[in-house]
Amino acid sequence: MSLNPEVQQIVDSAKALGHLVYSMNINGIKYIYRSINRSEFKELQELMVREAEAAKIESDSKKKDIPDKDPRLDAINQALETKAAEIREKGEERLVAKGVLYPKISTNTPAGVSTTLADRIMEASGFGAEEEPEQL
Amino acid sequence: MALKRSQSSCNDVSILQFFDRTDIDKLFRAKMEYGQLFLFKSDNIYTILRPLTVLESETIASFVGRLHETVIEDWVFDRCLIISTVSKDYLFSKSKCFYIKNIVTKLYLLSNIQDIKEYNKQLLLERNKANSVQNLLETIIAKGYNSDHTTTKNMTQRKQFEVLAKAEKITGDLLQISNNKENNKKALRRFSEEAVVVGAEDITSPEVADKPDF
Repeated sequence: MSLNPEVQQIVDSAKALGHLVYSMNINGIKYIYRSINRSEFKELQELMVREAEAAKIESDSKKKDIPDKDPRLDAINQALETKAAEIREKGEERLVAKGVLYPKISTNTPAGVSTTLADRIMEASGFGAEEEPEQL
Repeated sequence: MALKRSQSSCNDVSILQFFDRTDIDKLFRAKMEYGQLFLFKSDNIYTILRPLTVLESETIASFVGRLHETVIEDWVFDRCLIISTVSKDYLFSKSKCFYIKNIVTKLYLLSNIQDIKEYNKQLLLERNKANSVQNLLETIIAKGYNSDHTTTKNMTQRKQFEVLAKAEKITGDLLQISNNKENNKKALRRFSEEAVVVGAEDITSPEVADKPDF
């Protein structure tokens, strides 16, 4: 695979940092992506946890002083679920932004591409790659 | 004293080649302490961990849902890690993000028998082992001196015989040895099939022998 020097440099830098680099074609476009390491994963997780906690606090404050069985509670719970889905989606976007080396994901990138790349980055990072250990 | 070398298959990849003497010492100590170790091979990284103890497993269970899973995973991995071909720092920050998670998930399953049939099988196996002359000997010593089995196991076999005689006096339990040689042979636990002592001389004497700590 021949890459232009600029992209090759990006790939080499990622490899030098210990990441595994892969490429795949989606709709005729070659995407280059890398594995995510544990400290990067923790950073992404922490951001998501912080956002989820903030959403929960906000939701709880809205529920304050609203009596049980009040129909407004359903709306607040529904809003919290929507917010949780947004947080997960944002988490996926951050994962892709970190893992995709080239080309950069833009607002014009089809939504399915981002999800496919997120799955591939997870696989490259060892998701589901369980191996049976040897007993000593 | 000459020891017959144990035969090993040329096809076996010896894990010894990946670790230095300090690591091998850690490995042996861990094996003696925990009895069971697991070697994980992934992405050219060799990592050996011990299983979780029952208390550790129960403690983890009480924190699930209260602490973020990466925090629990790090704790388990750090606690159970014996040796690895890469540094701890690399494992915790630079390894593939699911490396530790996959190992910890597997370790948790391996440390706690999930299947009742397997549970019963292990219990029966241990019961059978417990009836061997060697194990009965260790049990009588432990009972006589109110100590744990590890202390007894750390003695030489000769020392165990000596302490057993005293423990029998204390407990009133006499180790029953059958006159049938074959029965005793089966009952005695095998230490090493290959180890053969040739022309050995007993250099111990009551004066130099280790005094039991209890």
